[in-house]
Amino acid sequence: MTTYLPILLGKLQGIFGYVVLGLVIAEWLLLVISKKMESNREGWVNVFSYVLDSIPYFFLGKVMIFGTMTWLYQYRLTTLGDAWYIWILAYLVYDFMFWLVHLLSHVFSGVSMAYTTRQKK
Amino acid sequence: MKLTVAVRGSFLGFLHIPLTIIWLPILGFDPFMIFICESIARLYGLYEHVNDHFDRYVGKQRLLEFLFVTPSVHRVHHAKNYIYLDRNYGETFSIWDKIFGTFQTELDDIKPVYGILSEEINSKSLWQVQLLLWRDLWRDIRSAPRLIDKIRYVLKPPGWNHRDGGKMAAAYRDEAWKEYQHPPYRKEEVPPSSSKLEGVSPSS
Repeated sequence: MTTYLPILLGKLQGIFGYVVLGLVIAEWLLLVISKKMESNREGWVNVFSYVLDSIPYFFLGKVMIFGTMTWLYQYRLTTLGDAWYIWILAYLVYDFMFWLVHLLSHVFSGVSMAYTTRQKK
Repeated sequence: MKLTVAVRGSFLGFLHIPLTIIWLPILGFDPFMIFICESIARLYGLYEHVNDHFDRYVGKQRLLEFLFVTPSVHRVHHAKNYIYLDRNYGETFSIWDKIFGTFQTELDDIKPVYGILSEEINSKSLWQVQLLLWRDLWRDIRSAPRLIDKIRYVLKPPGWNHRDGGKMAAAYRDEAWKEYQHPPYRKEEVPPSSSKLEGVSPSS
């Protein structure tokens, strides 16, 4: 089962990528058709920034991150299982961690520079 | 605002973004479960960046703000209006910002003006978006005579400097709030277009 997880994960992320790409393109087209697109060039800069952001993940790999997490899971403090309320708890913990890392990326200039590229419209 | 903003990243983002999830299995969460949660959250995060025209159809969704980060709430995060600086860090739930005092709703009389305090950056230039702030940080570090100040430039918030301590987002925000709550002029004396709170950036 463990062997199949990275493959399944890769497939799910592929689907996720297509959904994101589809939504971005759909909105872009709607804005162009309705003549509300302020700058196509800015849109391309954003897309290329996404590519630059993704390159390290392509080489280091989500698989490497997933591998580290799988390794850490062996040393877990407790086993929480997969009950429905654990899924909700996992989402809440993830959401809190996102908030915390996001906050810290505004507090420290050294991280802020890597983050502030997201801040303009 | 538009959805492409949600996917805009930095070439160095991989150094800190994984910190959000990488240690969670230690607590007992299955890594696969974390990845699924992250994917759902990122899709919701994409929706937050929907174009401003979306408001015409759904409004500002004030009721949902009680629990969720709505597009209106997230627009505040992207604003450079002093009164909105460094607010609303959440992705799906607004509860964390409310618990820790970093929540700010979009005020009816102050439209968010997108951007950052550095006016130099041209969002239509890839190299500027990716590298200009790093160049500025490097220049600041070089300008500091003492090693401790060089380190402080990395660890202190943007706006700090070694000469007089600088002025950071919190100070701009506090001043803007005071001015908003106690305007130095009577409303009928000043035309609405001269509001100092809408998108004025600092010269420093």
